[in-house]
Amino acid sequence: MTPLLRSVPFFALATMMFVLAGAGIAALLSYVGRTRLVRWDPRARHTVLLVLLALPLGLGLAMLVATTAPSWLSTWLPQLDHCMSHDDAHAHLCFVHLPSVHVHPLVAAGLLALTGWSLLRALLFVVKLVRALRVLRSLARTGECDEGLGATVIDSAQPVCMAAGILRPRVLVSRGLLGQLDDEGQQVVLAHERAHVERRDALYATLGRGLAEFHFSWVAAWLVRELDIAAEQACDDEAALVVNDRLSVASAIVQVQRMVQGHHMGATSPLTVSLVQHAVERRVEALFDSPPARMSLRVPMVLASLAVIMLFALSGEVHHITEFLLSGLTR
Amino acid sequence: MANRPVRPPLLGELETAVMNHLWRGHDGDAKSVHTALGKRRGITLNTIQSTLKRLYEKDLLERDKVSHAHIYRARVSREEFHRDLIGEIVGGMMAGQTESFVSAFVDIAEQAGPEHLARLEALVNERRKKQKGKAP
Repeated sequence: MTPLLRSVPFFALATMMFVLAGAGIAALLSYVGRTRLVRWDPRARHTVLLVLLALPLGLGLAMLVATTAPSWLSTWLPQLDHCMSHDDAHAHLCFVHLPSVHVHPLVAAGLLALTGWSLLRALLFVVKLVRALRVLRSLARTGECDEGLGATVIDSAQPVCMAAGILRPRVLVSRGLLGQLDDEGQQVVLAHERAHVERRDALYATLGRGLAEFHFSWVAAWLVRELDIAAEQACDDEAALVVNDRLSVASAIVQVQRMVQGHHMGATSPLTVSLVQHAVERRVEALFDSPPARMSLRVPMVLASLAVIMLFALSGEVHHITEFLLSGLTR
Repeated sequence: MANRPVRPPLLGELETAVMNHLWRGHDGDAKSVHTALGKRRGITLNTIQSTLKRLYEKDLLERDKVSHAHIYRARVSREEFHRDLIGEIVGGMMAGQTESFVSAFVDIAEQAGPEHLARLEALVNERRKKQKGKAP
């Protein structure tokens, strides 16, 4: 194996360590902040949840860049080359000095297996995504575009109203649902779905689910669910502004939930039984109160920026510690 | 009853245009469909014939031989087609495969239970009464 190829597993392992650290931090922040977070304004909550979802991958990449900073900086300023300060009998995270040691074969095999498994999952997800988007496209193209409603009407008795699509989302509503709702109910559901389209919630939800793969499973499940609920509540608030009545939105949610459950009675999968408060309850109860004040995320953004600056300021120390940890995985 | 595919067939752009045409009651042969759709799109008669054949093989069309030509008509109504497509989307949601690119007005997979819904309805009605009581 060439020295260059020998260094690839070290970079991969370093990245994994950083992603794991990010997942740990995200788990801790989610646990500590969960009670306070659910009381936030849904728009700000949605943003914070996306940041938490992105934390492992984001922190992993930031730490990789920071840790390798001494190396790529030394290509311009040789006096910053720190590799001269230690021998070659340990792992190097360096573009200039390539390692003379190998990663342990078991570790290398584990890395390969993990990479293969991740690629397979990504491929299956893409296949499923392409099929689903084609289904939605077929629905939208064969439906009737109603400019007055701002939606595509589907010829179905099932009570369906959805915002569908990632890059070009659109609102789909069935004749079955329109027939069972009065004018105000129709206004509410369509305003809610239009809000999803304007907010590009499908894009963020898809992104969120991809980022959730880098979290511990129980943290991922909580973050994704909370992200969905925050998006729904944000759109409920938008719909309430349109009809100028939060109770009408609450009433429409309960009415449509009853229609949908009546239609799919007996078809529930055991996976859908939930021990936590149902999303519909949280949405309805939130509409009983006035909308929470919009939160400014300026302070968290400033703190996050300071953390990144500090990370880069300490890149030398982080580099040493990482190489020390990686040395334990060499043979 | 006719056999139905397990997963609904999906339609390309021209296939969609042809199906929409036939669903509007315009049964016909390849020439009439080409006159209605193909000419203004610059599509050849052969392409329309291939499309009709493909839709027939997807079990979406029926045809009768009249003289030398096949007369095509929709075998599946628009409603049946939509029902199958929605069924696939909803089926995925019910199976716990959360489709991130679809935001339904309510969570189709969530079964809040009639007692929960009744409680929520009662709460909404109570708030409505209070709201009317406060109104001048």
